[in-house]
Amino acid sequence: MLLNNDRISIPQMTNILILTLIGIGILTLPRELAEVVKTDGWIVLIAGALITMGIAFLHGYIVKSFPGKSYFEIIALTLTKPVAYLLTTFFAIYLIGSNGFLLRIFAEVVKTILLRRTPLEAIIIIMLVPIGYLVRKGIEPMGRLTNIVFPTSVIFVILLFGLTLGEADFSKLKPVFQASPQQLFGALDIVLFSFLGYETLLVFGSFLKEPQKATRVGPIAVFAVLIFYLLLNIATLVNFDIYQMQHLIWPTLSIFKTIEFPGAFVENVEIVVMAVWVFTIFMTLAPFHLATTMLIEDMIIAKEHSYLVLPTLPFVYAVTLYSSSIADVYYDLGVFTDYTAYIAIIGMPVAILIGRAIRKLLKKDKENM
Amino acid sequence: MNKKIALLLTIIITISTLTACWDAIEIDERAYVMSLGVDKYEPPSGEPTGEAGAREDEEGNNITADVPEETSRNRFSFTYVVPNVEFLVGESDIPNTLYNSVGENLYSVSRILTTRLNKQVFLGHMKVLVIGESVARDPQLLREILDAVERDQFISRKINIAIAPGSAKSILEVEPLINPLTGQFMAELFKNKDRSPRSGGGMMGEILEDFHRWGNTVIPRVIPGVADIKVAGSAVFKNYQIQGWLGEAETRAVEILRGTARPGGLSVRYGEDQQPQERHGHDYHIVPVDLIYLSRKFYLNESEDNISITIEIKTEGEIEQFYLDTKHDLLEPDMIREIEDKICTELRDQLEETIEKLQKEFEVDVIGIDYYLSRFHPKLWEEVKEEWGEIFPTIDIAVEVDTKIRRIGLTR
Repeated sequence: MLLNNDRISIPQMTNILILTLIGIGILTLPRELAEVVKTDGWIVLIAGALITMGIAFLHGYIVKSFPGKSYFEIIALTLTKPVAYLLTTFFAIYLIGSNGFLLRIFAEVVKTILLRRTPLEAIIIIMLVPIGYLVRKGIEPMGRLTNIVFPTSVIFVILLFGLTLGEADFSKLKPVFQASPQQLFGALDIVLFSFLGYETLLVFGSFLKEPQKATRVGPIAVFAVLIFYLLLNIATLVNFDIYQMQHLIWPTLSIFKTIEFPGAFVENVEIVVMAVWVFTIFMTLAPFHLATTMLIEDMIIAKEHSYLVLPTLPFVYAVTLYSSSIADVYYDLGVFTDYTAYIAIIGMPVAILIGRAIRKLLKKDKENM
Repeated sequence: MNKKIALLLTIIITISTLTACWDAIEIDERAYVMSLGVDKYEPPSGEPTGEAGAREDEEGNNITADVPEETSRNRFSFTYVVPNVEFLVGESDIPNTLYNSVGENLYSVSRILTTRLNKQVFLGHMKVLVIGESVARDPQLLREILDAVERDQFISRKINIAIAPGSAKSILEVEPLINPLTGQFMAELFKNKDRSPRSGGGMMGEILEDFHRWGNTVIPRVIPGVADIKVAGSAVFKNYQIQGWLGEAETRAVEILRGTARPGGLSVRYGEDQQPQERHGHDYHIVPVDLIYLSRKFYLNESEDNISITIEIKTEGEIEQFYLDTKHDLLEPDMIREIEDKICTELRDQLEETIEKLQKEFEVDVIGIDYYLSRFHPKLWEEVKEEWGEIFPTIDIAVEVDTKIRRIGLTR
């Protein structure tokens, strides 16, 4: 039996996806929803999740149709090799860019709440080193790590959110169905962006033990995260109402400032939350970076992806330090995802499916002749 | 050989990285501010300020610091209460150290304070924020302070806030007999489960929530005594500015109307309105009743033209005292009904009086009808929300109280 055979099971892949999906979006999601649709955020969440599940199913379908093939090979097979080089490079840039902005927001939060005088660069490098360490050994250790991180963080998160409901006022969830269809539609992209991360399945698909079951991974992961987001949205709404929420940059962290433990042996519960959150952020950054190195590995036909781990980290670091202030980070991230995300998550898979259909038609024509 | 070098390198790297803590701070290097008082700076009247205000001894040397001048930069006067750690372990008789400093804003005053304090000023363990009346009267100063507190990443949203008639400093100077640590004493006052509903909750998070919505709220009032501090009554705020004070009974009424009242008592006089022959020789009996305020519900009567709100309040109680060897029998259900009716009337009168005061005198809705309309009648709220400040004094509010007395103690 090989210890590291680079094969992961369907549940492991689902865990990886869930932890990848939960990233920085959770910090701002309740506020962004409250700004646009007031208390009707849950409608947008459910609608956005349904769309996302559809897209995730498409991704799974692509993996299922080309079992054991890497993403680069899939694109090369359906859309010719030059296009594959172009699209894979684009996808790698998308992953590096997302990772960079994610890491920057993470570092900003840590600097604001935990380490006030530690240089930003130190926080970033301290985070990047273990990412490189984990990614070097490929996908299997990551799958194993999620088996530990996932249950622990779920327990902590449920406990902590339970505590926030102590002084909840559920009438703050009212009124419902007040947002206009335009507002609901306008808020949809907030939700779609907050679910980003499931596209890594396209890259990791070739490592699945049972690729024929790949279609279920994405939808299950998105559904689990939807439940989590809905609970989160309710927990923040019943503690702060929409007016207070719009003034908080990270309402999800601020609600833990409202908790008071009986007996008060710990005064700031935020610290525990931050600890759990560091894990989930780590499990977002690491898969993204692994996907980046694997894409480049396929593209240049390298034997081992581990040589590429360290050389690509400086690019992530560069993106991380690109923006000057926290306001710029969110603005730049918005611009970046606007230009890349839709192509990466919808454009490319649809192109692959169209390419595959055309190939099939041509093949049929040949056989008929 | 290689192994040894690797080991050495690992040790060097570990030592050098693990010790490099930019944020390391020892616990005794911090001055933990337990409570903070905020006043508007007012120069002592009639006395010289600036260098001229410094007192000199006979030889002409300055023995006190300069009296702060009235400049545009001296806007606030902050009072920091730092508990004395040596007092806690019994090595000193001085429980608190009070620092008073003037300046433009909380941040810079806290930083400048370190010029005369050998520790870092740390507000993360603050329990109570006391705001002087002079700041409460100035919406600009109040909003500055509240924003500084909300923005700070270390100050909890669970701290208490109170308004001091007069100066906040005079409150913090009191060393209560039962617990001379002023900050802790006040925090415990607020936390006391048995505290009567004669002052509001005063939780920072809730007050901020109220302000963020429409700028109106009620904040508890603190009154200094010789050797104690009293939290009673409250200040009514409209558009971030104090409108006036509510007395203790009025505060209880507002708390009941807001649905946040803690259990408390109410006394009624039994037999006052009875015919003389039925009185059994006594004028009346005073009946104190311990009440739990169960629920408060608003109803909008939609049929009428004017906005008409019915407030329904449910309470439950226990009789605490009647009269020794009385001819009345408290085990008679009719007696209980009578006392229940008296409580309802008494409570309704008090509530209506307070509503009248809020509508006519303060013209501000702090009892939450605006929340009710915005949550349960969003269509109507859309029409009225812009002019709610003008509409609120004109709406009809009816109060319905339902009291059930459950227990009467050990005697009949």
